[in-house]
Amino acid sequence: MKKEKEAKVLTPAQERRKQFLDTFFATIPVRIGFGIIAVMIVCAVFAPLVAPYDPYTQDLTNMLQGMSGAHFFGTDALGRDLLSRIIYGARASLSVGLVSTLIAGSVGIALGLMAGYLGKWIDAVIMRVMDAMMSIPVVILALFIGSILGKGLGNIMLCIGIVMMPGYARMTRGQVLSVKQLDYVTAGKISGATRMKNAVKHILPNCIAPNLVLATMNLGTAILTEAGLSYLGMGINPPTASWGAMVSDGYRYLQEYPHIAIIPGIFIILTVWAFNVCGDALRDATDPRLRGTR
Amino acid sequence: MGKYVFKRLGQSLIVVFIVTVIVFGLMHLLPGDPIQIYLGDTATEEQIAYYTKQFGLDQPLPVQYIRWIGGLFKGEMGRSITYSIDVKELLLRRVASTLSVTFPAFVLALLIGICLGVITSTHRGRTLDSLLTSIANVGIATPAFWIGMILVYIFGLKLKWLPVQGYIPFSESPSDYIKCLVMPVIVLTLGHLSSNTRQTRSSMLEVISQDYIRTARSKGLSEKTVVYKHALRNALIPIVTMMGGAVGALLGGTVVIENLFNIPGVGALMLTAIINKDYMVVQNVTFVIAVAVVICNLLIDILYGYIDPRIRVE
Repeated sequence: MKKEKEAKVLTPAQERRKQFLDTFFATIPVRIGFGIIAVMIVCAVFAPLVAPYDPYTQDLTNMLQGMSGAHFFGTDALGRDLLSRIIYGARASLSVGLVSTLIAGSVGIALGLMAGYLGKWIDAVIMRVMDAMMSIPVVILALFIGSILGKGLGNIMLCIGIVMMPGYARMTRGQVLSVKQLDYVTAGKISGATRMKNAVKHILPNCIAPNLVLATMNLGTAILTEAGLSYLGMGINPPTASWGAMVSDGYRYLQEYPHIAIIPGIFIILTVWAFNVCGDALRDATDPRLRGTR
Repeated sequence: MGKYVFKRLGQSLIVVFIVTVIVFGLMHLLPGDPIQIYLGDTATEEQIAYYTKQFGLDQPLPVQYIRWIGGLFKGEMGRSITYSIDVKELLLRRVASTLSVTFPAFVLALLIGICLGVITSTHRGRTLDSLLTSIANVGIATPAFWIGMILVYIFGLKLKWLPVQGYIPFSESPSDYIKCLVMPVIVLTLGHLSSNTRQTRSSMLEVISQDYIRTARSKGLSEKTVVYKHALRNALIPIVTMMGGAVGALLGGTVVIENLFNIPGVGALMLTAIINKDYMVVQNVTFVIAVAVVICNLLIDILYGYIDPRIRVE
């Protein structure tokens, strides 16, 4: 009876929010994925409190240990605690994912908005450059840019951000082209709004939702790209903990101590999977036509 | 249609031109001197100056760019600084091993991906759909180098069924050639297989909800005819249009796979060339890959421009 009363007093905005959340959390994998992301974020933010050991302290008397009570995931070739390095690795992976997606999103959306709204030669130049970037494989372009910028967390974020940028530019341009034909944009023009104001105030807000979905999906791609670059030795500088570099280091001891390479890989898979599943759910929740199609 | 083909061709040429500018510009932004890297720390200034002149690196950048492009028009790719041989020869030596991995992976990922996509879409909501979709989702999230390592551990180190690393040409031993390629092909196939499965499934589900499928069913056609003749043919359009990008992704993927399995292919060559700043190798290999992607995209677009007038108009 009480629940019914509460349901009745929901405002339309609250109703929409409830419907969105119900659709978003409709399936079990999404709830698991959301939980994994939440745990990873807590580990990344509170790494110094959560990690049982210092991830950089070497203990050569304790190297290549198996799983035990003292070292839950064992130790690496330098005697560093693997669990602590994985917890700190979450910090690197999540920050690379988040910052590179922010860089790619903000620059890509700005370029797409300019191309779509201003059109003519500006559109042609921007989109042909984006096409050219997309015709070079991501790994190779990332290796190029990574080599120029050099190793390190900040440079990897920038590198992956640049590589992922064309996707946002393309998507935003498409959105802008369809939105700018709508009546309210024309009304804005007639009422004397400047081109800048019209683009930013009237068109841009309509391009955010699909880009947000793309960003959620790209978080996983960014984490995978960082892991790949670190595996190739072109990623984050050692001794900073990175899941990709940990897999690469563990490869040398694969025959005797496979857990050193396997465990960090499982964390990459879990995190990327969680972001992909949540990205799919976000897209389905924002576009009801696609519900359950992926 | 002629206007459409002409426009797409023009756009492709512009894209290829921009690729050459980007690659040339990025290469020359790389820190370090390639001649110094090649000769080592003990090289004298005279030696460095001699080799710099030999490779034409003493010329201004616009001159070097024009020389490179001019050479490409004549079918020349210059000399590799690291390997001291013609880049074209180097590429031809390496391309066989790369194609031995990428071609089967491309075909397998496409065929199996489409089959699994059809199965999941026709069993929507059932256990089989949930199982295959979940596996595909995990497949997309799995780094290729990690799955490669797991295979090496199981089939190479523990069961000893397959060689851990290396490449033996077909001409030397056909059976060893196949054994060497099994794991690299599986690794390269898995990621693309997963994305093809997801793409086919979503595309099929969108098509299946269309009115003409309902009409086909109400005409009394068998489910097999409806699925394969009516639905799949239309659902394949977005998959085939993505094939150009898949070619690039597969070729890019060889950088990691060839490094992991120690295959002397184009991907491994690229990694070494970027580290050593081997200008001509990096520029030409990237150019060849980008041209392959652009040509694939162009052919697919033209093909579908013919088949589907909606694409032509867009």
